[in-house]
Amino acid sequence: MVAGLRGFPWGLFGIGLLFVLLLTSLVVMGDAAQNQARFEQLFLWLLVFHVAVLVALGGLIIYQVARMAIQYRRGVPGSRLTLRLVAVFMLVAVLPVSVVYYFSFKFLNEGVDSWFDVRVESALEDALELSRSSLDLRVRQLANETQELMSDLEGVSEGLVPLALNDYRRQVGAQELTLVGSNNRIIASSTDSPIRRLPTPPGSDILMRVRPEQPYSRLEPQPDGSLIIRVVATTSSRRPGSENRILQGIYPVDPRMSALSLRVQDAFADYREFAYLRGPMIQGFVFTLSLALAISLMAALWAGLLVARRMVRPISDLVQGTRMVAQGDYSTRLAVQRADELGFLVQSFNTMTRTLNEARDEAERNRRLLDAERAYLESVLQHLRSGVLALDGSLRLRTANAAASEILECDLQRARTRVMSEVGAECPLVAQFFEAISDALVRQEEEWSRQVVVFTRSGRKVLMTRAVWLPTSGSSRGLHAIVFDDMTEFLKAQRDAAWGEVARRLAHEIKNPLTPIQLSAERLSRRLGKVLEGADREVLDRATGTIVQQVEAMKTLVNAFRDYAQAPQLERASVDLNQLIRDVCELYLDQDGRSRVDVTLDASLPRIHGDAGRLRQLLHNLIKNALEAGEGHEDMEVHVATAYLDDSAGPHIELRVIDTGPGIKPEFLERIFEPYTTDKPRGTGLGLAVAQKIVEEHGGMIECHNAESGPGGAVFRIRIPVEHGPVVHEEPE
Amino acid sequence: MPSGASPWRGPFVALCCLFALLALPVPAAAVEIRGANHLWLDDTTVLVRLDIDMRLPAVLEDALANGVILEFEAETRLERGRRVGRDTLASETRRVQLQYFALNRHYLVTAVTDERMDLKPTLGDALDQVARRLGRLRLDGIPASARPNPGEFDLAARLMLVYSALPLPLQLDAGLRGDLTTRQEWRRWSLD
Repeated sequence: MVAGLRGFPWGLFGIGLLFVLLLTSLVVMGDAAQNQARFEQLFLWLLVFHVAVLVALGGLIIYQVARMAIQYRRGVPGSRLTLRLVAVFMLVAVLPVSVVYYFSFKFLNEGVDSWFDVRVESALEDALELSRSSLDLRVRQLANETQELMSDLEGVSEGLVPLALNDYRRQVGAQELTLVGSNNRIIASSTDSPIRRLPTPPGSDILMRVRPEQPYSRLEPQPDGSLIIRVVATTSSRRPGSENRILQGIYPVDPRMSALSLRVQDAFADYREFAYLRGPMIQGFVFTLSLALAISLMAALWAGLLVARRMVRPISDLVQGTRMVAQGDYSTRLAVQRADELGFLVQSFNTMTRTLNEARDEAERNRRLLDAERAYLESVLQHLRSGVLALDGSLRLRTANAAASEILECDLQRARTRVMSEVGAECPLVAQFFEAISDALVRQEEEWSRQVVVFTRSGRKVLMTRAVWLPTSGSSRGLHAIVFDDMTEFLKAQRDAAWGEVARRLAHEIKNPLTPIQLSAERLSRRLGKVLEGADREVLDRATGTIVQQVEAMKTLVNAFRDYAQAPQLERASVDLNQLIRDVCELYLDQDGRSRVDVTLDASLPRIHGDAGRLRQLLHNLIKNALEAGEGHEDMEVHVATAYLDDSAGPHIELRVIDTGPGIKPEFLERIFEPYTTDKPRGTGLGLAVAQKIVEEHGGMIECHNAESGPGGAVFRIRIPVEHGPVVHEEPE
Repeated sequence: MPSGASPWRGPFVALCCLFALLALPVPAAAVEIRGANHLWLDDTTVLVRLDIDMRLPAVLEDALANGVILEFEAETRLERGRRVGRDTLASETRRVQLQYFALNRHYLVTAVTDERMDLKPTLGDALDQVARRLGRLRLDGIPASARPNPGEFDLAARLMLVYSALPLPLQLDAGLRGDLTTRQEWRRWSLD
């Protein structure tokens, strides 16, 4: 019930009711305008009604316009359209109302003017003048007769006066004749009334105007609507001392004459009154008309406001709904309240939002599926031991898994969408890795693989890298899919295993027969030495000596292989590398007591956590290798230098062993650290392999190249990280 | 329309404005009582005499000359004051019409109550006659306790032009312009 009342169009109902009331008031006013009495009766009520409606409408319109202005200023959807519609309604209303007002004003003026006519007014004046003249004539006639009667009564004694008055009254047809003496004393009176009544003497104002021979006469109206003529006459007393008498005669005017005269007078008075009130009456009409038209105008404006609001409401709802949709709320539904085109528009909007909602739900489902797939792929990638990188054509990182971050020691998850060169500025390992493969990436090779060696804080890393260039469809930029594995441990283990097998085979295949060979040679020497003499004995001794010597050499070789293959567990401790170098170099003094090795040590070198014995062997191997390489060169110099560096590879110690020998032949440079690789006439070829092994055991890296400037020679560069163990700077000496 | 705003607020404000217009103060009276006294005729009757200034404004003189009938009313009361309001113990009203009698170019003064008619040749005489007719009022039925205790009672009188008796256009025109007034305020004096 309440909902039904709320849905009722009260605004339109109010407009309709107001329109009916206004129409009624206009009809009543039009009817009243034809009738003066009715007009006077209704005018005030009409006026009050119109003013009340005008004020009420004005208030409503001001309220609505103010609301509309506020909404316009706030940019409420539909307010601009409402304003335009109201302006159009206003224009549409003003034009016909102005026309109606103009012609109504003209009609009113002419209509009221038509009530008055100069001829009518003149006729009325003439009629009144005629009545007046006729009555004046009668008045003068009666005045003369009364004066004559008064003269006649002069000689009549007081006793006969009543009879005389009676005769005279009958004779002249008077209504009353009264003779008054001094002090208003009534001497005699005669009346035509059968009821005897006391005559009324003339008033003092009349008596003041009466002169001898100049009777006072006046036409007087009566309460019953008739007219009488009052004449008061006197004469100058001819006899001295006699009483001055006054005769008052009241004469009826002929009833017909009286009625006609009074009617003419009333008509004239009414006409004069109308004429006098003409201006105010027109003003009243115009005022009322203006009120009615103002009310009509305001009602039109109000109706325009309501209708515009009703028309705009669906559009406002649509605008609001569109905004909601633009904000992503596809559940917006508008109420369809109309069956016209706007209702169809609202219905279409609802259909559109429903379709959009369904499409969004479908897209959301697909997105979730895609996310799930991606998450699955991410999970697979994250759990891969191999590092995976995806770079777009501009070498911008698209994807990286956890293994890639771990291997390259950089949080690549956060570096997504960044160019690899930028990432490399923050992650040194990435910079090294990217530098090693950038040429292949730039060339966009379809498929390639290479082994990349990088130096990290914890040592060298060998990364087996494979990459594929995927030119993606629908995009000009392709995708580099890079997969790499940290093969450092694997290669090391593989090499250890290989050389272990070599050592085992050497021990098994070579070392075991050496002792019987040596014993046999020694027995031959002992047995045959007693038998042979001279040159034969000399040959025997030289041969057996050679055998024993070569067997010893082979034993030494086998022991070296054993040492390489069976590396003892490191016994790490804090090692002062500078001191270790000094100790080792003391072993290499020449006959003059001068050291054959030049030493340049960095006083700020920190202690490292390493195996002093193995490091000593490392130094021996490198110095020995340098000295052996320089045999035969007079200016041969060996230089050992240390330095503490803290660069992109992290803090580490750099040890350089430089000689001024002939350098390493280029064909040996590639495999100089492989066992049994040597260009020297003597040597096992295991010194540098063992050196590399010791360096790698300490997490370091060894490089070798020939000096490009200076006297030439080989340069061995060893880098050992200092992150393991306590780092204590040595006080400068 | 906002949910918080009443739809009747606009009409209510409009009606308040209308009432404010209707409550505007009226202009001064055209005819007025200059003075008053009374005379005890007996213990229950008082004759009230009013000294009335009957100068008509120009608009009424003009209207009278053009056939408009003017009607005046004098009203007198015997009142007893109370804490709140007054008790009216006796009252008397007298109405007199003044019009131009065109047949003999006189002014006709008619007492509405007793239909007594007086013709006066000039407007001044006619107005004097109107003042005489209005200025003598007889209050009958006064409580007997009033005369011994005159201080407790007041006599009140007022004079007015009967506005509603005027033609409506004149009411609107002259009334809206402030040329006329409807009534004079009560004039009071003690009975003692």
